[in-house]
Amino acid sequence: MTRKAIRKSGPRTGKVVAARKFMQVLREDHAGLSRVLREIDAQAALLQSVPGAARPVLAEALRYLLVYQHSIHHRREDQLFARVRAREPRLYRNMQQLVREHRAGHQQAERLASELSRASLGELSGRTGQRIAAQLQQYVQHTRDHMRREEAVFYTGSERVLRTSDWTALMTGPMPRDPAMDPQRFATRYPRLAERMARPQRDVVGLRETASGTDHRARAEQVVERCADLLHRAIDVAQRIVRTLVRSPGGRSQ
Amino acid sequence: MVSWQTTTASLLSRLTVKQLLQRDVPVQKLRAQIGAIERLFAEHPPGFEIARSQPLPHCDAEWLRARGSKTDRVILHFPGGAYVARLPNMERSMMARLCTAANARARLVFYRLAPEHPFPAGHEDSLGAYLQLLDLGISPDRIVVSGISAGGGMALGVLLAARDRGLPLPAGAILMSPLTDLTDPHDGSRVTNAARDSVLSHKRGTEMRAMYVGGDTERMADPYVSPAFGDFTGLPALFFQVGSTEILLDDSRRCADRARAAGVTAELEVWKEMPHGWQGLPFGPESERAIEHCADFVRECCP
Repeated sequence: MTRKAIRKSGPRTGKVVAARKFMQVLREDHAGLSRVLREIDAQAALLQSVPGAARPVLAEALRYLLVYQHSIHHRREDQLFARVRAREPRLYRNMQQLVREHRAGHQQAERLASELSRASLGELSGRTGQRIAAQLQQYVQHTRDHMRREEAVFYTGSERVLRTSDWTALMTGPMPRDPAMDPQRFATRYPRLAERMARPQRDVVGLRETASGTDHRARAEQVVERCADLLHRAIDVAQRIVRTLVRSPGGRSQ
Repeated sequence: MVSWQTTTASLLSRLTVKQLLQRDVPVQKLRAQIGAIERLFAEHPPGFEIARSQPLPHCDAEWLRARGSKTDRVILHFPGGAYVARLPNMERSMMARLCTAANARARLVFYRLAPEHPFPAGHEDSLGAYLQLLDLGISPDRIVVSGISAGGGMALGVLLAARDRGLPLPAGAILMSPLTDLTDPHDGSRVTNAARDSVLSHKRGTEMRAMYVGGDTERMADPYVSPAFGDFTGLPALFFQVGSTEILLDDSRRCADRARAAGVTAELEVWKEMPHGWQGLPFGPESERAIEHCADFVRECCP
């Protein structure tokens, strides 16, 4: 490689390496977050039927979101977006919405954590539990949409406009990693959540699940199954009769 | 509580598809009648482009990508249909939703079907599709394999074959209500859920399964045909989703257990009261939720 070529490719390679390193940290944060969101979604649906079991898991999940995702990951992204603002204000205008969502999401998670801890088990089995479960599922959905937009548009945009110096500055200082990437560390900090996530089977239910509803459903299914079977048998017999009539000399002449 | 949309779909399926699968209907008629369900789905998912570039030698395959999207995540998908039939529009619609949710593009592989092309034709097509992705320079850690019903069994068979050949393995696999045991054990969920399953019936199962192996019933225990008998050592993370009322419930349970015993990360979600393949329904909150869970898994495997 000539010296000219090295001069040309050097900073570019440096930028690519630095950008990749920083973006990988952000993407790994999303990976950990995605794993926890799946559990929140499943536990929120169980909140009304088994509040005693679901609440501690949800409380730890919200704590993880507040301690790591909202406080560290979002701050990291905000720093990235601020650098983009300096380089390409037009792209940043679209990013402003994401920054606002970071603040709103933080407040919503705090509010949900507080409501969850204040409510009695009886309240969680009733309308309060239903409302909190619905809000948790809304929060999960909103967070997924938010991640999707960040990954699809803004991460690639940032990689395009930022320079090596920006990436180096972003990587300066401590870079705490997502505890969800380290199962032992995660289990120490969030034991109930970790235990639930490590279970061999996750049962996912719909909202407002009741045992009696399932019994009625099973009985109705049996009736439908029997009726459908009889109906199809009748159709089969009718078709056989028609075929026989058509094939018979009398039938042919008719 | 099951949504009215899924309840209606289950009811219609119990009245039609399940009855059809219980009766002595020729394969061509079965394909035609199941194909009628395709009318519910658009041939071209809105906002998506379908490209038939990079063809495979023996079967159809296509790329599905949201218009204007830039992503390096690839979902290699194997459709379902008991290895004898398929619903391409339904598969496209489901994968479009998954691609949107996971910020990914999909490669759909319409492997050859039995009885015209018995095992190993479809298996070879599917493995060939994975090899093609590697040849195209796509990093295996950006690929997630997925499959629904028979396609789930196919996906596991491809993983086992890729591992046996020493190929680099994908980042993970999504198995939606997979069919993983063609020997059809007459116990467990195949019996206990026989009445509750609103889609599948094993009354005609022997004949259908024999079609896939070209009548060579000894092959049914081959791990590439029935991955439930395979050694899962070295496989990537697996994500199973199955309905609690499915006759195939134990197919997922057994594979997840085997995988964990072999040191593989295996997550099993059992969705209460969901019918076989509910993820493919284009409506209903449960389908949306299930697809979102799959997308979470994709983000987790391919950060």
